[in-house]
Amino acid sequence: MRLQRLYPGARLFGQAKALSVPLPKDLEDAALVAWVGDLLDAIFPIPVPATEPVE
Amino acid sequence: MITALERAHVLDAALESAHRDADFSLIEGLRVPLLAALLRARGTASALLAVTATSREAQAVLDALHCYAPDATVLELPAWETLPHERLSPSAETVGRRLHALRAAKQWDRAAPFVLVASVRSALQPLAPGLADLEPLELRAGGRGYDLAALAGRLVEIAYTRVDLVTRRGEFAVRGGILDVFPPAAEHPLRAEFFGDELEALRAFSVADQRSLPETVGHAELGPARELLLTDAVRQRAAEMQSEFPTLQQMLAKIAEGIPVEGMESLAPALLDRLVPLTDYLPPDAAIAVLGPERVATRALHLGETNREFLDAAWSAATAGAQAPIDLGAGDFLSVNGLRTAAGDRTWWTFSPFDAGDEEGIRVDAEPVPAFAGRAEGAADHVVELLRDGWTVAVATAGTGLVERAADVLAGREAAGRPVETFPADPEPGVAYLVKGALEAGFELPEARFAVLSEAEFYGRTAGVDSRQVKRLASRRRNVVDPLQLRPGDIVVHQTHGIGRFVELVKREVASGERTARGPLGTSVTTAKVEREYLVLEYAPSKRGMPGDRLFVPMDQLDLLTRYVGGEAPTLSKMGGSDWAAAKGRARKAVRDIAVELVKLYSARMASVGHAFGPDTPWQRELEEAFPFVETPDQLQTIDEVKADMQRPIPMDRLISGDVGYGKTEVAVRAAFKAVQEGKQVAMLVPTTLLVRQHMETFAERFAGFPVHLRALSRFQTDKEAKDTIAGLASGEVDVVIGTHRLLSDGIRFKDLGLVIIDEEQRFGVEHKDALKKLKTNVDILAMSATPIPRTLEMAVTGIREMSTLATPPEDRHPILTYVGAYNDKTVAAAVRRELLREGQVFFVHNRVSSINRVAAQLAELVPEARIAVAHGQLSEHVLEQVIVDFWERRFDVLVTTTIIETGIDIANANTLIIDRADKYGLSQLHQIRGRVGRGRERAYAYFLYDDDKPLSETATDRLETIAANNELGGGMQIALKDLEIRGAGNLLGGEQSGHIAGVGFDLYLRMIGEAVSAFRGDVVEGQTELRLELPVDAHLPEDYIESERLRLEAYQKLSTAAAATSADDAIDAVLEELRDRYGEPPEQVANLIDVSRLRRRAQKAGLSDVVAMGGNLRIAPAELPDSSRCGCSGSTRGRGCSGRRRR
Repeated sequence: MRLQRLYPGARLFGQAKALSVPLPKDLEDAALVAWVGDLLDAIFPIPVPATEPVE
Repeated sequence: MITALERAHVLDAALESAHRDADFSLIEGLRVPLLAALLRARGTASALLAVTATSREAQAVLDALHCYAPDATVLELPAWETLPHERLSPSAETVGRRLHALRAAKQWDRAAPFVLVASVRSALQPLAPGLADLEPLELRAGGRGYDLAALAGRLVEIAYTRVDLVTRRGEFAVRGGILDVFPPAAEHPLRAEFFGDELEALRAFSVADQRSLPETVGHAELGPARELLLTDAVRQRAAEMQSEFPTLQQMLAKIAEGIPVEGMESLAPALLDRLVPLTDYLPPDAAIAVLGPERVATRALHLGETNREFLDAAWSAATAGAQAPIDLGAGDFLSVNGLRTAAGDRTWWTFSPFDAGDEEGIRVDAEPVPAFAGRAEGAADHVVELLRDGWTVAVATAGTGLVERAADVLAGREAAGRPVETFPADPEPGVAYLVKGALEAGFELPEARFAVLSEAEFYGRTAGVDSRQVKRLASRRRNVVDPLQLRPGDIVVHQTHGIGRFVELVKREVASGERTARGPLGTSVTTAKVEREYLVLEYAPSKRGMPGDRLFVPMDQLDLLTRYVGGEAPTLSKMGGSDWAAAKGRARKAVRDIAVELVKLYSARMASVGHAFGPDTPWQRELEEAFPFVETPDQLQTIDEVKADMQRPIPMDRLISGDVGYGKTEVAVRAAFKAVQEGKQVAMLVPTTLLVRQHMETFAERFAGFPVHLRALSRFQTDKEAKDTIAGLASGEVDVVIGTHRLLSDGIRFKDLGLVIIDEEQRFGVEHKDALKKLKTNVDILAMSATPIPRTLEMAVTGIREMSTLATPPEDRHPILTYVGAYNDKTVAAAVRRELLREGQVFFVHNRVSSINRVAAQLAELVPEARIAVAHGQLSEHVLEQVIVDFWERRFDVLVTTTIIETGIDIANANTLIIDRADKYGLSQLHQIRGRVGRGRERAYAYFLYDDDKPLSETATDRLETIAANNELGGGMQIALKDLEIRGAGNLLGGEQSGHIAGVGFDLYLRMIGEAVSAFRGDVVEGQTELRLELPVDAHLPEDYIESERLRLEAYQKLSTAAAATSADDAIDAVLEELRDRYGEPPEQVANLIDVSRLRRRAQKAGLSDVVAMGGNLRIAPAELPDSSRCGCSGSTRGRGCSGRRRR
């Protein structure tokens, strides 16, 4: 899993289709939200609908 | 112009009396010029009070004075809409304008002449003393030394009401460092942002969406909102009176506590030491002119009587028949003689149209302009004749367009028409000067060979019909603030779980993953719990006999929740049950059918070919400029849209929705005119003969002076007329025809039909469907409807069905004064008499056909002088139409009717509504019926009466209270309006839908339509995944940021809607901006909430259903990463991952 390199401790549960990533410690609220945002951008890119331009 | 008159020496004799009492006799058109000349003769430092018989006359005199005495300060002192003894408060706006005028009179610096114009009603009403001394509060942007708490205290002292959402004049709200306040005389409310003791920014904001308007305000004055201020003395007096008058105790107790009460002004004579006449507010050397002393005297007499009647009716009832309960006599109107005595030795003139024939009266010789009724050309010919005889003529019209048109008309007759800014002091003979200005009437001076014509005279309009008034430009409608105000017991719809009942709003601490040592700036907070707000909903019990299931809806899912509107008492859904899914499924299928139908119609239309009209002609511009009102922004946009549609080769099919009086007809007029200019014929189809008459009148007036052949076709035309019209339609001679369904009958052929305008299409029966369809083929169609179309629906079908909404009311429409109380003969008689006094008409609603004649007979006994007609649904159609038309033509004063007047009757002269047994009606119905009055420029009254003997149910009390509050943003009212929107949606979509709407609720139904339509367009994925996003973050709207619960809910809902995947990309930014605007800079929790919302939207777009912090981990699901994407993301992930790590 390449995920491991970026988010050490991250685990993918194939059966449950779930991903578990350890939360970083000592983050302020805003930074935590930003961290989750980055995570999503990295791993769950927005599917591009056929009619809409790429964001 | 006055200079020219002075030189002509016509007024010489009259002007000798500039400094002494005099009675003038002269024609109407000359009285304002003489007034202006007298004012001038008295010098620049002269002041004047002009008293007219009616407020309409006061307005006309005001306009004419602006024209004849341009350097003078001319102000109107408007009268209360209420009578002094009536237990209703005058509107804050009127009070604001009155206080402004009184202050101006006091502060007059003698630099320019000052004129106060007052109707007899305001001139004779006694006033509280010292009103002009009340210094308004001042707000200056950038100013210092403000104390917001003290300011709020002062506002209460000058009778402002504190609320959480400012919507009406005389209200204010404080949130953090922001003050929202609506000054009585202002057009828009103001928002002041304070920082410490500094006023940082001052802006106007719009009531509808509570957002700031772009222009900043430098400085504002906050005048008192009432004329009776609750000073210590007044409060103490009220406290003392409490024990004396137990029936007034409630009212007096509130006053004693300093809380303003509706109708408290009527107690002013008892609460204040004394009341003073208007003359106390005038400069000591001001002259007083009474215009039309005969009419003024009669009106003064009637006013006094009616006012007394109210005193008897309202107060003797309130004090249980006790004789002379409180001495309120000081509140009586003065008599005209009383005013004259109070005026002391001020100069007193009267201007009478009658020649008294005695020696002392001064006659000014002049001829009125001859009338050319029915002949629009007559006046122009007359002017040309005068010019040939060497006369000098002035023609005054109110609009620039009309000035140009007058020049054209004269040029067409080879006469000299010269548009000028101001009338020259030295006019040339044989020239017609065309000036801009609104005059009452013109005059002719044969000796001086000088004539003045008003617009009505020149264009041959009937005087009096032209209700010209400059309307203030209303602001454009945007999103309306719709606080989700829920009360325990309200029914709501949750998109996933179905129909439930709102129980309460709770705060709960939730565990949110393990977090340690977090907090801003390294503060150590070691709680793993976060406080969240939830809405608790109750569902049907899963097992019989058990308590209902409960659902906690977090605030970030509020967009899934709507209030239920659509049916009476729906059954609650069972959580996890199949009923809800089934109901949704059925609705979804129906919705899909509707969407298919809409799309089909659309593609059929796109494939057909119609006539493409050319661009606007100069005539079109002339017609548009002659419009006597300022168009609302909605109107302008709609007109542009309609024209653009007409200019395309694809046939137009546009629906215009807007309440009666919002200006639909003008759109139709302009569209019709455009069509006629290209030689096309126009058919306008309306459902009733009354509408034929009314539209005929409007069209005829607007098309006056243009060669347009206009005909009506309904059962009120004789056979011969009808035959002529039909022949004219076939030969192409008739350009525009306005008719009822007779237009749809066989044998009617058009030579070249180009535009069909259909008013209230849904009111045509099924039997006309086919004929209608035939008529509509391949021509432009403009449909009009008075039922509101929901905004969401409008947006959903954009691009498929063209639609324009006229939502901006003409702003100076007064809110209707609403009185709720027990039925009482005296009240009814007084109300009817008051309306008759101003030559208005009355609707009396009684909803039982069996007893309606008895009620009418009773009413005839109460008010024997009133002419009474009866209308109900069991009359034959023909008789009913005749009654309604007769009523409109003012052959009756009172129409006793059932609720058939609920829709589609527009009688501007009827301004009092009395509803008998008002407790028996639903809120939307009351609202709808009340909408029948208040359409003209007169203040309207609505009396909702109930039977005193029968107990009033709680819901009925509730309803009546809501309607009396007259606040459209109120919770209950929104629902009532939704009821109307359901009808509107029905008109637009057609078909049977009420079942489905009842099944899933109106809002969800509309949302489904939106989804179905966009699915057909292939825009957005249908359906929406429910996302659980929980992070250990302190993200909420704290109470000290938004105090009011309903406004907090509103904000949560907006944010949650903006976070949906289907919302526009900048929706969250828009919400943030709105929050900043309305509540100030958001604190950290709110900023977090916004960030979380963005994240939410991001996650929803990625199709995730779970982003939840559990233990020390973040769980994300569904995590289905195809191999390709796993590889694909590896590259980019590295960089981002690193940045993530760096942050740690």
